[in-house]
Amino acid sequence: MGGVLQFEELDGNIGLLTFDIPDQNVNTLSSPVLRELSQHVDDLEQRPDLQGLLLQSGKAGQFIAGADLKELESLAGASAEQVERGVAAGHDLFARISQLPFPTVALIDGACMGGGTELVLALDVRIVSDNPKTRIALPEVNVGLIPGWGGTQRLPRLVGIHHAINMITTGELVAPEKAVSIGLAFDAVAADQLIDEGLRLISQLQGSGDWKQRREQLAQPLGLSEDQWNFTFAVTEGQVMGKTRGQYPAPLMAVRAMKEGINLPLEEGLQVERTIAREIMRSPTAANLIGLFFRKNSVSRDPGINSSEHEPRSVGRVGVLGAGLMGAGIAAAHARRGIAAAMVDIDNDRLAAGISSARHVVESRISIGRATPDDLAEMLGLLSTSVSHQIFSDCDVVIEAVTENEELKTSLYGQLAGVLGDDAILASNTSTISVTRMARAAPNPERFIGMHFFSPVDRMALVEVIRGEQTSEAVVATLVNVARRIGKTPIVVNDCAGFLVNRLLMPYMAEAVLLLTEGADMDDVDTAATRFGMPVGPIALHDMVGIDVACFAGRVMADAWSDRSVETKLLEELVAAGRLGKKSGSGFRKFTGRKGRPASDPEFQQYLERCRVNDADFTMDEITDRLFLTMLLEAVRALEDGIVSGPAHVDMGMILGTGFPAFRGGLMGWCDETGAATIVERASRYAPLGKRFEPSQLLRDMAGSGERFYPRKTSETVFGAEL
Amino acid sequence: MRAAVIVDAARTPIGRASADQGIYRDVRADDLSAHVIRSLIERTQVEPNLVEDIRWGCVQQQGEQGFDVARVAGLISGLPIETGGVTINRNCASSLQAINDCAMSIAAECEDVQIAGGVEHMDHIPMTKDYDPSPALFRRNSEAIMHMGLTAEYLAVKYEIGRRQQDEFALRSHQLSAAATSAGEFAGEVMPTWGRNDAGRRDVLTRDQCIREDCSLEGLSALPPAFNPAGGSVTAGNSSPTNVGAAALLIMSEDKAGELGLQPMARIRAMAVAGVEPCEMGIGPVPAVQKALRRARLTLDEIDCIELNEAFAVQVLSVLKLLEIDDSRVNTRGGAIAIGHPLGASGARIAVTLLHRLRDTGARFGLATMCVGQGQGVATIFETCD
Repeated sequence: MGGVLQFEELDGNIGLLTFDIPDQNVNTLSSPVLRELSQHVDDLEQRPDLQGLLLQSGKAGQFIAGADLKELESLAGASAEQVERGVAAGHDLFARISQLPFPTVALIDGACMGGGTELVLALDVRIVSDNPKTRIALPEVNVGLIPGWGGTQRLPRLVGIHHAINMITTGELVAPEKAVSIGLAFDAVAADQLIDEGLRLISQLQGSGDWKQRREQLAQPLGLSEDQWNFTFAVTEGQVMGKTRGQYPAPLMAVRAMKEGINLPLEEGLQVERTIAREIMRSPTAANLIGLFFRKNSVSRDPGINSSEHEPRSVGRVGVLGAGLMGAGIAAAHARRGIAAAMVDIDNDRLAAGISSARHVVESRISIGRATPDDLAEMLGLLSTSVSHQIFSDCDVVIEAVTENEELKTSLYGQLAGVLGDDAILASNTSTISVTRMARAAPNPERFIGMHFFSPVDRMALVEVIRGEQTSEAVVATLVNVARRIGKTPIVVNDCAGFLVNRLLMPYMAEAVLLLTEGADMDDVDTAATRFGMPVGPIALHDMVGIDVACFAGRVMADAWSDRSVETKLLEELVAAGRLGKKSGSGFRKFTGRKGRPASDPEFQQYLERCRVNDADFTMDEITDRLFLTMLLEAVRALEDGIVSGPAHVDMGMILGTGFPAFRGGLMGWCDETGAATIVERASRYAPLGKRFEPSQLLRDMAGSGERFYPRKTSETVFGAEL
Repeated sequence: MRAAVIVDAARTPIGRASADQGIYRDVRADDLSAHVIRSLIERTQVEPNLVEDIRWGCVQQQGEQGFDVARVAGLISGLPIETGGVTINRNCASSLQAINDCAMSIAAECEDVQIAGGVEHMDHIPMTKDYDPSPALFRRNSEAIMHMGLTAEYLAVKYEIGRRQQDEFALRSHQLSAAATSAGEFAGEVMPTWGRNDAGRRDVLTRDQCIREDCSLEGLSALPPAFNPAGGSVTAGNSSPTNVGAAALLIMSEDKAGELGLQPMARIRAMAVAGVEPCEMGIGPVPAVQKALRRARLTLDEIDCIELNEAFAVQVLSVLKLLEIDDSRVNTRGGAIAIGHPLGASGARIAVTLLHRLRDTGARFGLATMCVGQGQGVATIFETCD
């Protein structure tokens, strides 16, 4: 590469190395960069005359963003030797840096992440700027990796085992003040004082001479006693397992590297880290999470429309019709992000309840330190209410969020016709009803659209933006833009029954009910799903969302996809008996005690017996297959139908909308990992059960060709080492 | 009965309790404690495994000073886990009490080698934070007994100590401590400690922050009364400031010191505590000193060096008046008015200074004494070893 690192000598025989990749917003550590750094180290090793070295970034407020992720992405396809070489390249270079014949000081202004943090850990001292953008972190576990360039060994030796475990297992972003207090940084000073402070520190280190002693000390074992060691790691492993349910191996592997390496001399500890890193770098979970990282980026930048002709229109004021939980949540979401919101309902009591639940959103954020009372005041200042639709007259967008009842919704659209402004967009927060059909009742079908928020609105990032047949592109672009402004991840979905998320989720839910009637054990069904990685099982989910709601959605799906939908008579029976789930005290399970915890309910058995079709035994694998194959096969059909623009949208939709496990790389990522051929083969076993297990053309083609939804990334280089 | 000796005594520079000016504004009390303990062990080269306990004075035992800060400091300092730690509170005399407790433990054939000392970070944990006494305390006492400045004003009236006399004493404190600093007389007791220098940069510091070389009588007399605006005489200038600091002493039995081949600075000859009316808490040293002298079978005339904590100039002057001592033997390197009064560390701080005075001047007997809020006095008499 060349020209990425500039070396100069300052007064007093002190070297200054400036890292600045031209034409790139952030500095990353790619193979060419490491090579160039290595050449500088070659020179510096021959300069015992230098009094010290300062390392800075040439980009204000941006230090080093970490290793080059494109290179990391190619890890999945790399051989063990290639990975080993990549890991070793960083280790060897950082070891040489840590032994330069003079004190070394990193001047950190801005984000210092991953490999960047491991680089500065190889230096003697770090000084941070007090810039609010300055953060130091080792976020490798978030993409399924561990710090593999010395981080698991150098960090605990510097800041102690507790803070190191915290940073490494959570990827915590450490602010300047905390960096100083835990001993990660010497001090936090103004960004423009960094060099001056670095110079002073070098002269002080040279004066006292104790930098050499400190280096020696940091190369020793941390020296935990047997009890300290046993206790620390027993507690840590328990906490990590509790958080990851064993489904995300990286945090545990990082802990293992610390556990096995911390009481050894640094050099041997680093060797432990290399061995463990080699193991994890090529793990499927790492590949899935890295892949997901890129997919998330691409989805979060998608404008939602293909042509660049249509600019999003500006939206200054939003109306929300309906002050129930969803309506209030939607109004609060806008007001919280500085967009004025007007909320309408039929009486003042409902409006008061709506305001109260909007308040609650911010108050609960205040209680966890994520918001301030000022934020609450600001939010409330942007929220207005009325029992009259007239308040919508100056709204750029009005979102209807009333009960899921088509007749009610469309009759309200008629009432809004004379009220809405000429260009106003009308959006429906429907979860199931056809947007194209409802558009006929809207004042202007081109300016009618679906905007499906998920509950609870303040915590669910996903918004499905539903494009009806007549919805204009400018309207789509405008709502995508609004959704992003309020911090949501919008996914544009072409109108169809169930849109994206419910179209894929409902067959899975129905399959679970069917399994019960065929003899599967309720707990087994839920356990199979949670073992697969879902946050809750499908039966428990029925009880949570309400069996009446699931039943209604199921009917919509059955009408639309009659060729492959299954009848779930059991749901109808339960609804008829008033067993609506948690909200009514019982459903599949009963909910008792102060906290309404679910428990098995003998009463349920009679309803099951009425609908029972079989009393077969099921293995967990069969249950898993039936649940997730139905979901996946429907996803492929949806892709073929062009419901969303690509597999990444399916995956982000399912991860954000249903909690589909990220470690599997999303639903389509899971298909890739398993292989289309295997999926087709497994589905064929269930072919007698009906068309829902019939793989569509696209999947059969992929099974034949070996194609993937996400083509494997190949690169000239892997993680710092050339192939 | 085993006699206790002090092998070494040291302290940090004393800082001002100030969130924007204090040298320790971002240094924690537990870390500061650990630092002075570690420095003392390193200087004496005593095998850390021999240290059986840490007795640590601290008044506001919450936050970074909470949950037995003595134990916490011991663990941070790298002393072996077998070394215990207990935090002691007798308000301003906490760490003088810690020294006395060590001596008692040695006399009682309990723990032998110990570290006594104390800490207070009056910026991070303010003096009256969350203080909430029972209303029953105020059945026969005015609530004003809790306002040390008002008890000092009471002394001024009761013992007829004028404003000028107080200001002159404050001036003396600054002049003596400034002179002691420039003469290097604190070099033996102050451990270099990381803090913020005048430029706000992290640096290794050796000077007490509150000593004012430019202190003048004019300046002092211009200050308004701090506690009683209508006719009061106690000002910010003739009172001790609020401070941050730590001090530590290595104490063991005389036999143990001999066994280890150590040359002790002094042995503890006698100790005493006495209660007085809370409203005149400042005269607490009077009965305490009298008790300690009786136990030492000594008279005041035989004491060569006296360290009397300067909570307030009027309080020192009242004690001197009642005990009929002239100030030539008292606080000859200045006192808390100039050096500072980090509550839980002050007892050890005056003992440290006293022991170095004894060593530097070749004197034989030394007395450390101080008043205690809510009406107590503590005194300890040291005797140099032959």
